[in-house]
This record gives sequence, C-alpha cells and structure tokens, in this order.
Amino acid sequence: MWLVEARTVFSRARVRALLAVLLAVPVFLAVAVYLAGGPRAGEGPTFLDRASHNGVFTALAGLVVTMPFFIPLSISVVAGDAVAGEANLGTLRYLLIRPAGRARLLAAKGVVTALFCLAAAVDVVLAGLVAGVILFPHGPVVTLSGTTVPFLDGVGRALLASLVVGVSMFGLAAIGLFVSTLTDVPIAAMAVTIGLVIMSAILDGVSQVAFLHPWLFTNYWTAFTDLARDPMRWHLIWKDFLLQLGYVVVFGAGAWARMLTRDVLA
Amino acid sequence: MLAIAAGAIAPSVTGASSPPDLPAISPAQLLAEVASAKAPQLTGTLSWTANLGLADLGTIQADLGAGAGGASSTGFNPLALLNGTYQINVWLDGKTAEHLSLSPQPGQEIDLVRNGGQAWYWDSSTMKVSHLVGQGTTGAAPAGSSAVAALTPQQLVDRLLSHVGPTTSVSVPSTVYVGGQRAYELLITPKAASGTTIAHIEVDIAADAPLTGTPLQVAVYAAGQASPALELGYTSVQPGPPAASELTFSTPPGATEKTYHLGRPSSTSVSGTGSAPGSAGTTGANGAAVKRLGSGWTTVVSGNTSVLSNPTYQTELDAVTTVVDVGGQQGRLFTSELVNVLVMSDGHYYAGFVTPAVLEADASSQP
Repeated sequence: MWLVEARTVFSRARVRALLAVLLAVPVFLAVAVYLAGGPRAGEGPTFLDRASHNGVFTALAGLVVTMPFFIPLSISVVAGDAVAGEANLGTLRYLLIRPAGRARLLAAKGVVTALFCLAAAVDVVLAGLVAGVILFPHGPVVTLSGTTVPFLDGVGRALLASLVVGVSMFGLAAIGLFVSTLTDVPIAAMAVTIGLVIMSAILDGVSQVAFLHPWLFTNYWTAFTDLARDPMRWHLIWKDFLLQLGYVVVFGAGAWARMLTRDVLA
Repeated sequence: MLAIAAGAIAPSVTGASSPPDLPAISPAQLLAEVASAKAPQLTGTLSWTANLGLADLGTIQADLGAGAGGASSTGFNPLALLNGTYQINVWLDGKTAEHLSLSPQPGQEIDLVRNGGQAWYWDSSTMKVSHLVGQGTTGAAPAGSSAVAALTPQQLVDRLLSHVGPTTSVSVPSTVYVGGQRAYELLITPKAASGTTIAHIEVDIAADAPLTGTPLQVAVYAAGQASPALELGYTSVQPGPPAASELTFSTPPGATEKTYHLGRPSSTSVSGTGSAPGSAGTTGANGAAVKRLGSGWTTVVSGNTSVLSNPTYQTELDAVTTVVDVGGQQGRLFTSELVNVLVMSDGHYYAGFVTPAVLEADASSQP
C-alpha cells in the first residue's frame, strides 16, 4: 500500500512538474552566474557570491534560494492534496473500503509526503551539483571557517545539507496533512498551508515577538548552513529536528483524530 | 495533548535542575582561587546575550556601513553584538594561542585566531583575512589579541574584581552547573543602590580541577530587570588542550589577506591602522584624553568628541536620543538598561553604568 501510494504521488504530472521546477532553479542560477558573473563577496543571497568558486556552493546557493518559498510551496501542494484531493475526486471512500484502516492510510500518506520533502531537497542539490560541476571549478572547497576540505567532502556536505533541509520540512508536511484532512477542497488546503509558511516567516522577522521565534517551524530552516563550517556545527540542526518532531507529533495526532472521526461522504 | 507536546519540543535547557553539592566557601577564598587560577585550557561553546533595551540602532549601523544583521559588502559589524544572542566556539590552549568563532547570521562565520605573535581575523562573507604580526614572534601577544582575550569570562572578571572595594559587597549564595561543570555563584552587589544602573553581577566560578577558579559565566543585571542585560557564559566545556589545527590559520585560496605589522604592541597602534576590525578603539574618537569622574560604581568616563556633533548625524541621533537641558546647555541623552551616555552640544560626553541624573550632575559640575 505504501509503495502504491508512493508510485501514485510521484507519477502525478503536477508532482513531476514541481520537481522539474525545483531542478531548474539551481540550473538557472548557475547559468546566470556563469554568464553575468556572481554578486560581489558579501552581497546577494548567502553562498551565491561563492557559487562561481566551486560547484558545491552552487548547490548550496540553490538550496538557500529555493528554501524560503519554492520547496515549501511544492510540499504544501503535495501535503494539501494528500487527503483532500482523494476526497475531492471521490476516491477517498474507495480507499477506505479496503481493510487497511484509516490510520494506516494516513500513515502511508504521511510517509510519502515525508519522502517528497527529502526528494525535493535532494533534487535541488543534485541539480546544483551537476550544473556547478559543469560550469565552475570543482577543486577543494573553502569552508565558512576559512579551512579547505577535499571536493568529495564538500559534495558529501551538500548532500547532507539536502537531507537536513528535507527533514526540517517534516513539520510543514505534518501541518499540510492535518489541514488536508479538514476539507474536501485540495486547493484550499494548499493555500492554507503555504499561507502558514508565509505567516511563520513574517513572524520570524519581527523582533517584537522574539519570544515566539524558537517555536516557529521556519525558525531553524537556515541551520543547514552550519554544515559549511568546519567543524560542522550540529547544535541548531538538532534543535530544529526536535522542533520538527514536536510539530509532527501535534499535527500528526490532529490529522489522525480528524481522520478517524471524519464522515467520508465523497 | 498540546501541553505534553509543548514539553516535548521545549528548547533543551543546559544544566541539571538541582544545584551541585559543593563544600561551603567564603567570598575571599573564592576570589583567591580566581586570582591564582591558571589560564584555562579548553574547548567549549560560549553564549553571549545582550539585552540592553537599546533603541533601534538600524539607521546608525547602516550609516556606519553595515546592516542590522551584520552582513554587507563591508563585512561584519561588531555593533550587531549589542543586541541578541550569539554562540561562540572557543579553543583556548592556556598559553599563547586561542581561537574564537562566531556565526553572526546563517552562512557567515567570523574567526579570531591568535597564536604566539600572530593573529588572524577572518570574515567569510567578504573572504578577507586581516593578519596581524607582532614584533616578537614568541611570548608577547600582539595588540590585536587583546580583542580576542577580552572576550573570555576570565578577562571580564579580572576587570570586574578590580572594582571590588568599599562600595561593593560580595557573597557566595549558591552553586550552579555551567556548561556541565560544577561552579560557585559569586554575587557582586553595589552597596549603595542609588546612582548606578547595575543591580548585581553574577559570576559563576568553576569548582573542580583542572578549571578551578576559572570564571565560566558572567551575568550583569540591570536595576529592575529579571533577566540579565549582558550574559557571557559557557554552554559546554571540555577541559584539556584543544586540537592544534584550530589554533592556527592559513589564508584559503580565493581570499584576500592584508598583513599589518605592529611596531609597538599597544592597542592604539591597532586602531591607528584604521582597519583592524573587531578591536573597537577605547580611546576617544579624536584621540582626546578620557577622564574618569567619581568613584566606585558611579564612575563616569568623560571626554571630548566631534563625531556626535557632526551635523550629518543629527537625524540619526534624533531617532535614538532625547534632548535634555543641563544647566542651560543642551545635551543629548542616549539611554539603555545598563549604559547611559550624555553628549553635550559642545562635544563633551559622559558615559557610565549610572543613571542619567548622575551624568547630568557630573556634566553640570564640569567647567
């Protein structure tokens, strides 16, 4: 059932289109920097000024650029669609006729959404690495700490960063799944989910509500940049993972409660 | 359910909940331990928090060449440290080498490395290295390193303890865990509460070898505030020699290095080069003499500056200061929880950990 679910989601045209857009962003970024030259040191989005120094930073710059909006948007689409989409098409009750049970169906949806989170981030980094290696040097990588590490070490860090970003989207995926169980209109679930991302990001920027910041699911999204330091700093990443776990527990439980008590009419 | 989940995701608090069991010690004994403590040898993480209740410095910071976050083409601006919480990784070898590393914002790292007669300052956002070379290569630290050393709790406490005198009472009310180490809490309180903005200062001093006597945390509380206005302390400490690779720096490919040869190891020669970042000069802006007025906790430093009376800064100053009248002369008062500064229209300034009333009294008593 999980395999079927994964195959259904990843074979949808819109999911493939989302992944293709995510793939395109770092490639465009790399081509633009290649043709026009990157920003001066210290300017532009984080890492973009280094993108032309090393392919690894092309990938990391791609992650920085897509992380605030493109990746959350694609996750909102997939998570918001997960249950509401089936309800909207009228296929939810057929799914529930199977003896698998509602909880297992929800679990399968959750696992596949989580898988999509990882796929989206890995997608960006792989595209960035390929574009970066083709267009820019791929020698030893200068870390943020001013030390130099071998290229393969840098590639490993970029892939690790993609996994970290993927996991840091789990909270959002859980929120999306919960919202998706509330409605039969998938577009509404998607809009609410991406709206929450924007709201959280805005609150994160307002210093007057600093006491809220450690609780916002977007707060540690940039923690993956600590992997470009030497030695790698895990402090904020662990904090982020703990926070995401909290969101998964709360909204996962909410989705589960809603799913079990829901009247499936369509 | 929400409450349980909230408990589960609560940001973890370092340290154990019950205070460590340590034999009683008198303040004098504890101060003697601090005085005789060797320079610590450790790898650790410092947390720096500044909560000064400052007016928004955004405009002035931008004017001085850096955004509020500290990043711009001109690199990190130390003024950013006046607000917020920062994690600083520390490597101290206890003799002639140390390394501090700070990430002022995601994707940026600042490193200060000192090894013997050399020091490096690295800003990843600008890929620039300032390399300071002292006159002698052994022993004597170059001037730039004073900026490095000044950031450790040890230096702060030495400075604080020089103020312990008849105006101060010290006590050891409790014990705490700091960065996983058992520590005594030394409470330093001004005897006369009037005049100063400082309510009390807490210094947590390591109780166990090999760090015995090493201050692990300093917290300065402003009058009427429940949380510290300034706090610098270890969140993790590993005693023992740090990795040698962390105690040196070599300029990576693609970075630009500027070397400064320091003829005379004094802090003025550093600020004299005009581009040694991180070592904000403590002398007056024009090199004018700085006077001390008063004594004890109500000490006020006074001097003369033309920078603040520069007309181009007036709009910015209007945003962060209030205009006061002192004995018929106009002055600008900059206030925060801890530090207050009064700048008179003739360019005289008065600053200290004192209430505005003390500054005004000092200003009006000066000719």
